[in-house]
Amino acid sequence: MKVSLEFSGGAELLVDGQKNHDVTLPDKEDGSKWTVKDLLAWIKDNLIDERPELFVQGDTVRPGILVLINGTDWELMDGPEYELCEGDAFVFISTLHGG
Amino acid sequence: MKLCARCETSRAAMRRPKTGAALCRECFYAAFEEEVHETIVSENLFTPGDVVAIGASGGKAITTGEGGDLPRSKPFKYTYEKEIVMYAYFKKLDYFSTECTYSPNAYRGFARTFLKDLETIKPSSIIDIIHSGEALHVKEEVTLPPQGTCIRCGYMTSSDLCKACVLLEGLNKGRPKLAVGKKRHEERLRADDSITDPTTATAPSSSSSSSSSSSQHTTQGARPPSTTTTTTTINPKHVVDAW
Repeated sequence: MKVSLEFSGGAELLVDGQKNHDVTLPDKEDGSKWTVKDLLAWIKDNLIDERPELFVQGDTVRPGILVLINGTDWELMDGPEYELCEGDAFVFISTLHGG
Repeated sequence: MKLCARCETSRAAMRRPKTGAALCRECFYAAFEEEVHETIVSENLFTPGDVVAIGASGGKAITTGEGGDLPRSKPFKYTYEKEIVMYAYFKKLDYFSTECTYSPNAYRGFARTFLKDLETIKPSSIIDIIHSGEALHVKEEVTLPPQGTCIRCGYMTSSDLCKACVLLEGLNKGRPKLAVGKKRHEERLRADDSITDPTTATAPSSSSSSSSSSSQHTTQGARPPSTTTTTTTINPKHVVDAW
């Protein structure tokens, strides 16, 4: 399944400084649908080289990182439980910066 | 699909941390702008005819303009960070961040992480803290230091020397704890021999002449005691940096 990921607000620093990532996710072994929770684990394993704790905490994103799914706040879309659809666009914006 | 709680016609785009309401983009813009306007009016941030410089920064760099220091105003002080970022994202405003090279282990980072964790539990906790900060009562006998300029470099300071000059002096004299250590410790160091005003700093070193060291002592003795008294001071601008 193909989805697009965008990292901004400093979150791109965790993924090689590259903002946009078009990725292809493999089918899950148990045949179940991909959730955002799975996607976060996949990002942690495949895109983030170091300090994954700056992005993921447990099953969700680190507090202070905003997530949008197809332009809508993920809090209105079941958050980590949202089931992915082909072509979905995810945006991760860090608000933890500056100083 | 969830409908906007305000217009009840458009699709909701975000949930406001402030109210918990799910709003569409247009209704969110309206609410956001109205509330920032309300802050500007109720806090008397601007008066007609004011020239306003805009810099989207929470950093200290913004406090200094070319001709000296600019007063800071904080129209976003009651605005949730999530809403500021969502607004910028939806409006496609240039939104970027430059991380200070030295920030990864800065203490403010730990405080911010703690605040973000609190906000996860209760989004309004940040506003509660700002409210507490604003409600701090300063005892009448507490005096705020008047803002002056550093006698060495001219930058604004509440003391005779600015912190940067004290720090530099400490490094040059092999006393790295100066300006970063305990205030009392610093004052003892100052009283000892380290910091003098620029007129004595250019004088020959004390080893070459005994008269110069005695003149340093005179300068120290002439220092008004008020600069070394420990007074509890609160800088109101730095109570809470909301953005």
